[in-house]
Amino acid sequence: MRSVLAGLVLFSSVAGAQGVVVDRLVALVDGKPIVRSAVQERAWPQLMKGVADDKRKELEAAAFTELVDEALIAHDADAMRIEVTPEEVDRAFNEIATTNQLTVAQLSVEVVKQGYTVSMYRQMLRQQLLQMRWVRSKMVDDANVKGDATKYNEYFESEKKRLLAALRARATIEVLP
Amino acid sequence: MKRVLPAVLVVLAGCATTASTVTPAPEASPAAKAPVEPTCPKTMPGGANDGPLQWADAKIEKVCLVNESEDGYLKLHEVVAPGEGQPLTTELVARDLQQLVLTGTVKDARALVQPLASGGVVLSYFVSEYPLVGKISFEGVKTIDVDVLRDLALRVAYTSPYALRKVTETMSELYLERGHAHIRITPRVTKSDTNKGDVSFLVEEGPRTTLGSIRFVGNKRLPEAELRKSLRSAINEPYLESEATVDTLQLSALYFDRGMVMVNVDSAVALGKAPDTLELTFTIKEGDVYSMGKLSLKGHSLGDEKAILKTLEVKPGSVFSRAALRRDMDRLKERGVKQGVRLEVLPVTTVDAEKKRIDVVLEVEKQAGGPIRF
Repeated sequence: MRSVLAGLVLFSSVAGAQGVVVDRLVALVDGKPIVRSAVQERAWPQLMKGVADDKRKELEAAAFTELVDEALIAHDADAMRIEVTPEEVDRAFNEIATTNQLTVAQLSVEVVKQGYTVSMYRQMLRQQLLQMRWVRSKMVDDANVKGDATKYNEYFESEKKRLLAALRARATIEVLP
Repeated sequence: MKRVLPAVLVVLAGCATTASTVTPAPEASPAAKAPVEPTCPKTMPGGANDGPLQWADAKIEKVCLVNESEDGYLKLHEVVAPGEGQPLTTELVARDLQQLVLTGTVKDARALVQPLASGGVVLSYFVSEYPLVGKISFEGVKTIDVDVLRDLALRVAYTSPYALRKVTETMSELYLERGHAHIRITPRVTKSDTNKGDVSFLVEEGPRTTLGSIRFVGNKRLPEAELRKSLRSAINEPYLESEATVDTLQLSALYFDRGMVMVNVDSAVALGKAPDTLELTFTIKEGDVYSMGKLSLKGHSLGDEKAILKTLEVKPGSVFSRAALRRDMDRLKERGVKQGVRLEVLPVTTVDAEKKRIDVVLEVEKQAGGPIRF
């Protein structure tokens, strides 16, 4: 987990005795917590490039939405016994390395350069695989998109949005101040 | 990105003093000095804001839990106490916050870190909990015994919106089983004078929907009376999708037992002619009648194959029947029991779609576990 250095000098001079609230809950999604540090970690690869405050808020909001969606899908996938094994994540990681003509070690270095930790990147891979499986298990087949990769991808994304909207409508999401 | 921690820690060590977290050392005798004990804050310090974790890997000298009520303190403190003595990391704090929520009672939590002169830190979790459930009441319950609903509601101890939603869903399922397809239950929490949450459930039962008619389409070889007898769904009873699914399988089984192994049965429900009724229709594509082809045994020998096959119900040339085949598989297992062995019998079928014939090999496998002793 990376520390965000921007503003660190300021904090170190005023934190002192009062201390610092280093983490807190930002939301509860069907009883499962999302913490601020997870949102910051997810947004970090974009934030590390250096952004203005309003852009920063936008990126953190997008990271927050991603984490809420992941929590919703993970919960539903668990109920449907859809899972992704560590071996499947390993395979996906290896495939990405091969596609980019890298070794696994080289990919790990690139991942870190992009602002991720390897563990976080693998967790995101796992989430993507889980989401794909979940959407495919629920999406309505459309014969018109078969055989056309672009149309299929567009249709997949629209089905994912529809299914997520249905999940959100049923879910209990408490966003904390 | 590199951490600039060593420089930061030096700066902070110089600043970190507070009456609430560092007990001034007492006048020490030349013989012995009393240790400085970090103490827990009672409230969130006024100037404490959100910020990055600056004292990474500093020793957590004390873990504190600050909650609004005495109830649940011990249980919550137990969750975070193992952090004492550990190095402070983002992962430890995030994990503690998650574990606090998973107790089911916490609705908000913040982690405050205060540095100590020793270089260690005090880690304090400020926690808010959902109110305990106080009185429970219901409004609008007409067709179900309210005590049944109350028993469900009593399973919820804290007024967490998620827990209330789950119990509401369970209550709704009771109504759906009784045909109230439009059931709506809304929980409402009001603060009582004992700081608990009184929960009232507003129940809008809606009309009860029942099956007005059950139709069959496409059945030619089996009479409707026989099909109806096999159903769980019944007229004037609530329509349940789960029962309709079982009915579909049951109808298919009837056809399998009469050689129609390619049968396809679908069910569909539509609004009935009378108000608040539904019409359930089973559409059947019967397919051709298949006959039994060759029957043979394989695997563990129970004796002379020809002699054994003569004793079986299924005969080559007869109309294929799944039920008869099952009975014969049971007969073979019973033979095994008499011979003191446990058997598993698996049918391997080969379907000849042109000749409308099914060849069956019954694979007999001896099971582990030793002989059966009488």
